[in-house]
Amino acid sequence: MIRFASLRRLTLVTALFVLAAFITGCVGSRVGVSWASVSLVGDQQNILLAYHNYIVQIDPSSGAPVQLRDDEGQVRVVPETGEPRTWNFQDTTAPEQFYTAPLALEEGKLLFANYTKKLVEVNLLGARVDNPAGIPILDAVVADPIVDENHIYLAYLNKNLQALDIDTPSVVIWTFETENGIWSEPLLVNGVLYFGSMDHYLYAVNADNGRMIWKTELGGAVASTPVLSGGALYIGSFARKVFKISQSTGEILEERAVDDWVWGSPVVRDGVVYTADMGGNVYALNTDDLSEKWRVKAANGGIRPSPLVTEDHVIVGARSGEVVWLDRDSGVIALEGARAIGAEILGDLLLVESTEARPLNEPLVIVTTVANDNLLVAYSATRGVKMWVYKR
Amino acid sequence: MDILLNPFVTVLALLYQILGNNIVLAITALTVIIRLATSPLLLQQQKSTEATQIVQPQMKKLQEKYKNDRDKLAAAQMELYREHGVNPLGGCFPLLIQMPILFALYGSITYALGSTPFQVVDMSRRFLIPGLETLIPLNKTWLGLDLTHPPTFGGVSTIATIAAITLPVLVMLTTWLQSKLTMPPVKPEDKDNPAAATTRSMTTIMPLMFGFFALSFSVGISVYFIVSNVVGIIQYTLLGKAHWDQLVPGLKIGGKVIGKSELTPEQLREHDAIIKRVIDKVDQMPRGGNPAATRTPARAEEVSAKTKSISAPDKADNSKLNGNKKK
Repeated sequence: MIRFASLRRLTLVTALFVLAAFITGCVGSRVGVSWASVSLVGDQQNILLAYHNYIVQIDPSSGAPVQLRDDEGQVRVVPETGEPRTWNFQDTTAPEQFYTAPLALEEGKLLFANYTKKLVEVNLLGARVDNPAGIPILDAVVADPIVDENHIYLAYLNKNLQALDIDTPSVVIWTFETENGIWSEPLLVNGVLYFGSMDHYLYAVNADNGRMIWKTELGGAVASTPVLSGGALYIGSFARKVFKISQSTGEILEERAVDDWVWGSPVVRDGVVYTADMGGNVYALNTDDLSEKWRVKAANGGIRPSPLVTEDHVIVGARSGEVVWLDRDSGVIALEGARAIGAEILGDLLLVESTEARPLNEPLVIVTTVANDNLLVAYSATRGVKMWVYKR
Repeated sequence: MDILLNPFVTVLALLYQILGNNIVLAITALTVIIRLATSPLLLQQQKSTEATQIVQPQMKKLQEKYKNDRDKLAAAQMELYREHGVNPLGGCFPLLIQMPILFALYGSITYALGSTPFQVVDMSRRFLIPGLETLIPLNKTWLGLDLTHPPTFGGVSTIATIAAITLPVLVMLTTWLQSKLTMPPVKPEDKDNPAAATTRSMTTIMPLMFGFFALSFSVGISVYFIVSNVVGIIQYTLLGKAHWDQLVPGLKIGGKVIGKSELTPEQLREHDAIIKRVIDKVDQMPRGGNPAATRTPARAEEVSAKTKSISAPDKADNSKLNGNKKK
């Protein structure tokens, strides 16, 4: 009887835990906290992907991981298997989370600000971390850091911006306090940092001493980097608006309502502001008064990344997994083929062009998703044809 | 799930706006509203549970009589339920309806407190009323605690540390109180009953489990647990279903003193008549047979009304009817 009672009790407790796990699992948050960053690194213009607990370098011409080579240029192999070593850093011992593009500090060294409140230095040649403990920082980072001759500027997830000494990053030069997080890299122009914050303000701060020059309320969270053109800053906010703001005073010169949140940074080219919203719309606005040149419903899902503007096209990626090429002049959908990846696109798109060191047959658009079987997808920038896929 | 979740997220954001951008007040208000809105379901569930408890003493008599004939026992049980107008699964349906609502409530708090880019991206399509997006991100700090994270004990201030310790304790305390008050009193004959022992052990296990959740989940969820428990205690008290006398003997809150009233002789006679009818009917059937329903709807209503008026055990049958004594 006692054993029966214990069994029933155990069953009941197990059922309760399963139920609780079901409740929390069904409605809980997603794995990870942000999306991958992609950037170009080195003379070869290889693609550096930083996501979760790994950083990997990809050859843009093939989509294959870059192989490590010794001083004589020979491919290094794993002694046990004879397999080539690839440029792949994965932290399996600590819960590192990488979402930012690295800083190239000096020859052969990359510095990553991570979500685990550390600066981690990675050796570019060997994909090696010499100091796994890293340099402790104030908070988690999801915005790409920037750098000038003297400082590293770090924007933090929950609040504040800091300037660290470039030679000794553990030394904080100044801290600028915000009411909420900064989720996009600041724009540094002539010693002034311009950045938006989730506290609804756009700030201009002296890069030398961290003193505020001006701040402007934008009615909603600001999650993107402003763009400077002709003495004005262009930026969108969650208040469903795009703004034109005086660079010198912070005064709002023009504003235009759009259909949904604006998350990605606008792009200004030839007197036109290109921007997209979380309703799947893309807009081309005249820089003078933000009047509409054209607008189009380009995707079923929201468009988080900034538009990628090429000579002929405006290219956008959406949460619905669609990649869309729009005619730059008219906004008409230009390339219909191979547009759907089938995985959520949140990270910014990357344009890889042919260089002397890395000749390519044609420029590529690199799209990042949050799905392991489509982590990076490369398209021909001009034809919209899928070229390769990097899986994990 | 989004069909339920998005309205909840929207209402939570609206309450946040109305209540001075205070997310704790908003969570409290939404939890109270949802608990009140689902009160009819709770009431129905309680009625069904009570009706099931009322037939338990008679059920025991049938179990004793037909202990060697499982088919007849099953037939007699079904007949007994029919006589009393009780649906043995009636308590489950209100519970099943409440589950998705509770899931959505929990989910809305989780999403509204989202503080990472991924979570905020998910929020972008959830507001059903334009204009609420200007509230993003919701203020997630309360008493020095980050509502989006589990409590940390080396807090930024003394208040934060005290709050971090107090919240899980309050979760455990209110969970224990609710379990204790809603648990039926232990009957002497149930002391060795494994099912009753399992039920009693829940009073210990549930607070520990929710205490563990409070330490593991975000602080905002702990606020929800506490408010939900407190509202539940108030609801059960108002319905007269809270056994306050189990904490303080003789304590009378929200109804009548629990435990001393008796079945009337008329009610007892009616119970005896029912069980006699059931036994007669089942005994007439061949072994393993299945009785056809012969009771008229009018008869069912009459019996049902009488049995529902029973509020306490009879001295003559007191050991078997203790479970029916609350109203």
